[in-house]
Amino acid sequence: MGEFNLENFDQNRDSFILYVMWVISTFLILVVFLNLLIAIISDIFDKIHENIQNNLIKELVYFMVESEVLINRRKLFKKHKYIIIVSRERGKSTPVDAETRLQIIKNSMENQVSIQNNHLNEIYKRLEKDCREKIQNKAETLDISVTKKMNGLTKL
Amino acid sequence: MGKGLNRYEISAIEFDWLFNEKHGRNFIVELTKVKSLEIFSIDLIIKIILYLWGFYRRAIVIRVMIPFMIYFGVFLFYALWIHFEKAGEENDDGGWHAANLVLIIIIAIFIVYNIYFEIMKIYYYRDQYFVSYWNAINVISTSFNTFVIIADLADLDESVIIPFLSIALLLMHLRVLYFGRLFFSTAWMVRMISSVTKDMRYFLFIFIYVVVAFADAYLIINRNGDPPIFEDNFFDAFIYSYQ
Repeated sequence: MGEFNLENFDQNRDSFILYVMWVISTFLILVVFLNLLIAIISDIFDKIHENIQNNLIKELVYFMVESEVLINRRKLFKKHKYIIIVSRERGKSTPVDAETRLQIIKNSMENQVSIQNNHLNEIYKRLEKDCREKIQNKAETLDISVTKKMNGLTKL
Repeated sequence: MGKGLNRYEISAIEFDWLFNEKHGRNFIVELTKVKSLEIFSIDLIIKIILYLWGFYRRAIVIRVMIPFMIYFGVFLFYALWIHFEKAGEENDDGGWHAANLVLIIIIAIFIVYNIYFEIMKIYYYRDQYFVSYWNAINVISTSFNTFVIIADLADLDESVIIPFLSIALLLMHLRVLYFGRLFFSTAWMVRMISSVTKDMRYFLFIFIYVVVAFADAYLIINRNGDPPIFEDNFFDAFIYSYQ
């Protein structure tokens, strides 16, 4: 493709039509169709690449069906009953969209705010309790001293 | 948690029918019929497939891949070197003739092994066997290889053997691609080649139609040329249009 042979064009009686035809065919076949071909291949590549894991598993399944004749299930899986999977524990992640992510952040913030509020409430309650105790002690002391003074005045 | 210790998850899948000859086979056959790719993202399905794949992979490597690679190597050796040295040797009892005969015997053994497998597959898959293009490549390649060695043994003219040998070698190379599906890093690429070929059929039809349209036009207008641009036949016109 792309190897143009225009050698004998001028010797043709209808060289003008020949040239026009050549330009149109070159444009259609080389420019339009080749670009279309590249676009189609890119599209297929994208489709396969975005599901690469699923495509891989699918390919394995096809391969297994084609190779079924190679294995003897009765002999090979004679003592098989379970598939036991041992894997290192890891945090499970699931694909989430932007809205869900925002919701997660919002929940996390609310959680933190609630923890902080509880903490502040505790401090407030402790302070209130301390203050009350101190005021009460002070009041009691004052009360005692006032009573004493009143008693003194009464004696006089 | 102490230093150097890891937590492990242990889970078990109890589908003993998976290993059963009938139900287990039906399960994977049904999976191939599912059009959506979503099913292959289910964790349970992935684990089952990967587990079973281990057994299939071992069987494919031992019973198909290793014998084929030896066969391919011998055929390559025969086609690219020994056969042409033998063709150039004048003495029929010479060393190249002997080496050629040894390679033909080895190739014949592998061809018989291949035919045995293909017959087993035809017996097992019946009409479904002919749906797979990999099977078609295997059958055509085996036929070409058989013809080449028979032609060589029958001492047919070299010019007759050469085109068959060339196609036979090309098909053998294509068969190597089949084993690309065995490895995770190349399996998706082989799938892409088959998908591209499948999805492009309508494009190819339109493309070839346009090339043929211009070929016809060139063929007619070429008759007014002195000298003509190409020989006055459709095949040359098609090649010119394609170029």
